[in-house]
Amino acid sequence: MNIFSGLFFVIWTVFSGFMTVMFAGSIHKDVQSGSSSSWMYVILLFPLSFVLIGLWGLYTSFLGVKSGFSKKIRPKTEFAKGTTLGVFFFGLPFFVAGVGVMVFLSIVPVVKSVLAMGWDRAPAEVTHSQLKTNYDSDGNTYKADVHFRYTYEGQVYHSKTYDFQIMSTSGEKGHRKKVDSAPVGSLHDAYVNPWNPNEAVLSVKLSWVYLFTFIFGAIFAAVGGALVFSPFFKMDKGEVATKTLPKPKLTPGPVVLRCRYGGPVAKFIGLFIFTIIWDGVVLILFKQDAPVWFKGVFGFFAVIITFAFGHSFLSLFNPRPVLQASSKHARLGGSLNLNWKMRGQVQKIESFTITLIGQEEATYRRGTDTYTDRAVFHQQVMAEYPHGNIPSMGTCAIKIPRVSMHTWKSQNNKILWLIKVNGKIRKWPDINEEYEIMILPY
Amino acid sequence: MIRPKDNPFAAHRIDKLAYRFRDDSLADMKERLKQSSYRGAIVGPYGSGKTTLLEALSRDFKNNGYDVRCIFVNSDQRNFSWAQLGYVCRNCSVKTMVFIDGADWLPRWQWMLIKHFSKKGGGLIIACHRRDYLPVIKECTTSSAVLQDCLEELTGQTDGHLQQAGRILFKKHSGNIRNVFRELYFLAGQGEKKL
Amino acid sequence: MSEIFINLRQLSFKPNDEIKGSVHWVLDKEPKDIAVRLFWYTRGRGTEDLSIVGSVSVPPKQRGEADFHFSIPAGPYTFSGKLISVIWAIECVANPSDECARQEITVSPTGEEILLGQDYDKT
Repeated sequence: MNIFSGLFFVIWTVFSGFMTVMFAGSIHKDVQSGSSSSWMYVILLFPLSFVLIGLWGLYTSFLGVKSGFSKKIRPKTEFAKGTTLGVFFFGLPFFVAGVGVMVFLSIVPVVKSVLAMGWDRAPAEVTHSQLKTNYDSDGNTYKADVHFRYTYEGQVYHSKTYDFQIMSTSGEKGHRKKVDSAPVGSLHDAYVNPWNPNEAVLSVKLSWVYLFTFIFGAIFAAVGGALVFSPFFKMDKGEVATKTLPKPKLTPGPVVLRCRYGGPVAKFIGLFIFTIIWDGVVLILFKQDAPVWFKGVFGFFAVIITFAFGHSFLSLFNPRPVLQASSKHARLGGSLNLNWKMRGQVQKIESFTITLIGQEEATYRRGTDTYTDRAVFHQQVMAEYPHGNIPSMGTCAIKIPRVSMHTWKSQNNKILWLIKVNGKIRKWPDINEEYEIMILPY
Repeated sequence: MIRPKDNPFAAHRIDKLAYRFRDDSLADMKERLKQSSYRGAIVGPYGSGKTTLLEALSRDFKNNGYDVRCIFVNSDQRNFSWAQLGYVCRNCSVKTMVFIDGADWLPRWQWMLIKHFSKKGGGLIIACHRRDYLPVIKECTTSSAVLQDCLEELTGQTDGHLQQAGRILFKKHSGNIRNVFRELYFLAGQGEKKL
Repeated sequence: MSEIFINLRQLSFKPNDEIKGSVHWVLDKEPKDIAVRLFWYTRGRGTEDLSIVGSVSVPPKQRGEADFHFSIPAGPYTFSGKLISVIWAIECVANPSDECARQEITVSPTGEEILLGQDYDKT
């Protein structure tokens, strides 16, 4: 059990659950009164997904994940991956900002609105009603500025709080609606705090702004929190000595092969998150009075990262190969049938090859460094179209060499068998995908 | 083609090389360590023999009856588990010596924890790239002469061709002997003529 | 002077074979335990890996002889590429003196060490 990550996910789940319940109640009320359609319930999927993330986090924290490590203690041990101090401080502002947005702009207003639903009611008259506009070069923001007078237990009070939404937003329509619903001279029933009659609001309705703010803040908090807390998340109880790799599951029958490193989509998502964070930091830096050289360094890397992101984005529109093998494993001396299909604009591809590769991987760990070297010992072209005219689908048979080495993995040394798909596309990122297959002993 | 097991620059042969002292000895180092209350750092650039020297020192303490606890941190895995922290910090006595390779890779809070709890034990010796962690008891440096000596031990050869290759590679890798051995592995694997 | 000998009828085996052999020893002192192990280890560019596939204890006498047998798994084979060699061996170790004897064997469907990279071909 990991205490730190468990605590984090308990708090995450509680807050997400609270938000879900509050908005479910509000939507249910609107649907019952006929002011909203039943389709509104679908919006609950957003906060619900955060609840599911929290539950998953609780599961992995308290029940753990099988690591396949033996429990013997040995002086030379290996450790889970962590973050450096730099990444900690890099993630900290995002985490703090995200939590701040979630708590002060979403959770607190929602809690206050719910509590205010139980306050006393008092007759109120609107004395001032105006749409306040904050002009900004990045875009205007608006806020409903409504003042009212109310009488509570024989005394007259004044309040400037329409509801608990403290933030100005770019949504003019929503704020205009508030102003239109409370013109000067209109009469309403205000909600008055019985313990502090100076505090009163005209509306306790839960706004969609709270939900979107919660989601927005949660994303920042999650990304920042992952960077800040990953050393604690990765600290488990187990002791690592010799690593016993789990036996592979042999899957009979045809199987669609999966790209070894998650494919272009996973690469794009990873780069997207990283680019957003890095470029966001750079934008803030450029608005501040940081030294020029400092801005230059960050800006330079921002350009590189943005280019890499652009490259990965373009790769998404590449024709994608889908490989189906007759089985995920074959034996030395045996064969494997491969059906391949190309999705997308195949005519863009100038040349195309599918190759079977046998590869050694050796990792040397010494001091604080780790080096991994690779060497190809077998290369066999299975399908080749060097001059274009690539068909949208095809089939080929792989003959696995008999006198060779099967798939084998130990802690520092591996023998891998891969199917590599390469496609050259003019003025566009090339196709370079790898699929691992298992070759069993003869 | 030389088989990996026969390659003179295979990992198991490199790892067995002893540290080459030039102006001092292990005994001198132990004396400096004693003067700093058995808390000290071995510093030096990459591939200069810090790990080798740390291991030699830990073996020496072990042979003298000490409870030696070694932790290795590297760029791939820079974090302790709770159990590993416990292993280092719990039940320390004056006969307990803690050795940490790559202490500067640890998260700061883990380093401070170990630094604090190891005070109960006999000593803390680290290998790192920074001088501000603990008093420096040894600064590792490399030289072409040290490399030549290692090459002679690994290959059993003293011919001028190998020496020349060693000098060129030493310069190419800016004194990082580990990287020199890495390149020599591949050169040897292609055939001795390349060397 | 201590001596340990491992006797095997053959030094080359195929995967899933049985290894039968004997070990005889003469030690200077009575050992605490004597173990015979079948294992493989790596050599080459990467950090060494080692895996003990089978281990049997024999009577811890100062001198003696004992038979042993192991079942060889389906893999890994004895092979050498550019970066990695896998070597199989049988070892007899006496504790606490750490006296030992080791005999390398070949485990491969061909009876010989597999050399990788010899069949770099195109279809």
